[in-house]
Amino acid sequence: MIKVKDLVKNYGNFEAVKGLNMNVEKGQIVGLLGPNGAGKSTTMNIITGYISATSGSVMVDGHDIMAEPMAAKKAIGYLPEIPPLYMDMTVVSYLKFVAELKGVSSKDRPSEVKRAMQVVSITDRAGRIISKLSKGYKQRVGLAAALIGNPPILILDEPTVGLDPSQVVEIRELIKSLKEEHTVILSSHILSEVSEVCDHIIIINDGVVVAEDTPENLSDTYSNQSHVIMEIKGDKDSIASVLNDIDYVDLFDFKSESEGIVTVALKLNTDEDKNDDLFYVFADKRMPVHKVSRENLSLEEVFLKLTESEEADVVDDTPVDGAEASSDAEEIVEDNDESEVEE
Amino acid sequence: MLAIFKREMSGYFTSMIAYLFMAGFVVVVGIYFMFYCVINSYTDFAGAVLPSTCIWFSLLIPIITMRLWAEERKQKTDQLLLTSPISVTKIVLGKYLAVTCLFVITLCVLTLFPFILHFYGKVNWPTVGTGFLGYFLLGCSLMAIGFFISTLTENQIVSAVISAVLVLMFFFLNNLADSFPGRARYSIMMLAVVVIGVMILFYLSTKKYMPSLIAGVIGSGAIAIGYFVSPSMYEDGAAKFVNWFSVLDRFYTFSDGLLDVTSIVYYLSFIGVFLFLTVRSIEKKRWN
Repeated sequence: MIKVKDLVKNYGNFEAVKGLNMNVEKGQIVGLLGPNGAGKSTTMNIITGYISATSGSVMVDGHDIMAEPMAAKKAIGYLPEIPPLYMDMTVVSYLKFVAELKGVSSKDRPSEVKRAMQVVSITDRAGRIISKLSKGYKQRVGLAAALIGNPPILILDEPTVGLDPSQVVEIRELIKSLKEEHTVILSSHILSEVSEVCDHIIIINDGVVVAEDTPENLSDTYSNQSHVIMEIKGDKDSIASVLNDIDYVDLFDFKSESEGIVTVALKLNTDEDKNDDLFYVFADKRMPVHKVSRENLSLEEVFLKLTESEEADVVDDTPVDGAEASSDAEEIVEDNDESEVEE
Repeated sequence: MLAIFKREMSGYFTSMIAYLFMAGFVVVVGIYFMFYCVINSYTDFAGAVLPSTCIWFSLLIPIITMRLWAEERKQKTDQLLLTSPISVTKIVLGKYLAVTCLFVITLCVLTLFPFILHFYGKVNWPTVGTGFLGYFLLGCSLMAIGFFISTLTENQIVSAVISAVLVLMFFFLNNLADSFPGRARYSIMMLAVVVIGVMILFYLSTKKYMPSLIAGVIGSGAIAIGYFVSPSMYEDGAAKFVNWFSVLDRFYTFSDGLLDVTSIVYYLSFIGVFLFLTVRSIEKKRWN
């Protein structure tokens, strides 16, 4: 549906997007993830034709945004970061205006406006002046405007910023429900939102795509084979003596103990899968292994790993410590939550 | 285009702007009407009242033009317009049509004044007709300038002040032109300054030497060819050149009762040039 090739955007001497490539298939909800200033909004603004690229090409539904802007723009419904609303208009008159702008015939306009209002549940606010609406409702009006004309592609730039928690949940559910009829590109820096809503994630940092895959695969790909978590029934001393005898175990750390089951984190000196081997070693000593698994990275940790520039350079051979990364990620998520409440 | 036009019109009338603009004109024309026609019993509405009020354009025109694009950019609604399947030219035309329409409505209200005169004396209706046509064309030209200025800034006040200053400048151009020396070499020097100015503009907008160099070569070539073909062309050339931009001078032919086709063409091309610049200015922002 959307093909972006070698996209470059310079603002004067500043390179906001540096040769970005991405492909969005039909029916997907794709999440654009990246820290502030990574180039998410710039990329979206170029795809929608709001600004022009310095070089590179963008194909929207088979139309080049530069060569055939009208056809390409017709295929897109765009909700920018700040919804473009005329504050002096009523909800219904604004949506009628948008429908006319998008070339919906005068005969279909009332039904189209009604449909869009129903989808985002603002029918009861139809006659209200937009400036009098709450932030959440303004966001919905913006979303309704993007839905007008039933475009096959929806591009939503941080659609849940500044909403209260219940509104965030509602908007997320709404976006998920749009999947059946639309291809959706969604940008966000709220990781939980992206992992919950999207079925494909593109992580952008410093103007380039640093990773793209499903949330699960991303987590798998960037997790370490060398970090293993085990739950073993037994006492710490005997477990320690067994682990000391295994030559591929570099370090181990007891995490917790409850009802005789000890949780221990191991760091191996190999990237090979040693789960089976570890199981049999303890089985031979007649110590029941309840769990042995690779320590999976959460999306937060993957994100941090890929976007923290210092660590990004060494990501392949020197993994960040899982526990430390996790606490950093929590801090970031907390920060986001706070900023939402403040807004 | 019609959607933009309707939205602009409703925007004017739901806010105070349309009423402020119309009331401003009625008050200004009313005062001069009172002075010339009522107190001094003078019936030449087009020849006396309309030209006297022109200076107020500098204050009244920016009221409606200052927000045309500056407001869209500030409210980020330009994102809706520029990502919709509608060309920038149509957006500009829709908006411009709305301001001219508001001006026509205002002029309709102003026609009440000669009607009042009609009951007490003899009104020369054809002169009133050409006077209003000139008044309309002059207003439309200045609104095109105001629209262009509005695309240069996000701040409405800045847009209004620049527009007002520019309108005043256009009004006083003929006084300025009178003070220019008439000798050919001064005209050539002035044209050279214009060419250098164009070269600098080209460089600033493209950041490349080649386009400005080409513009410089073409410009100086044209000046040289002009000099060899007809050196007398440059006599009083500077004054002629500046006078060409004097929009107010053209209006006097209309207020005197003449229907001058060249002036109509002049105004229409003036509007065309500024609307073109407006479209380019909006497009340029997207490339930066």
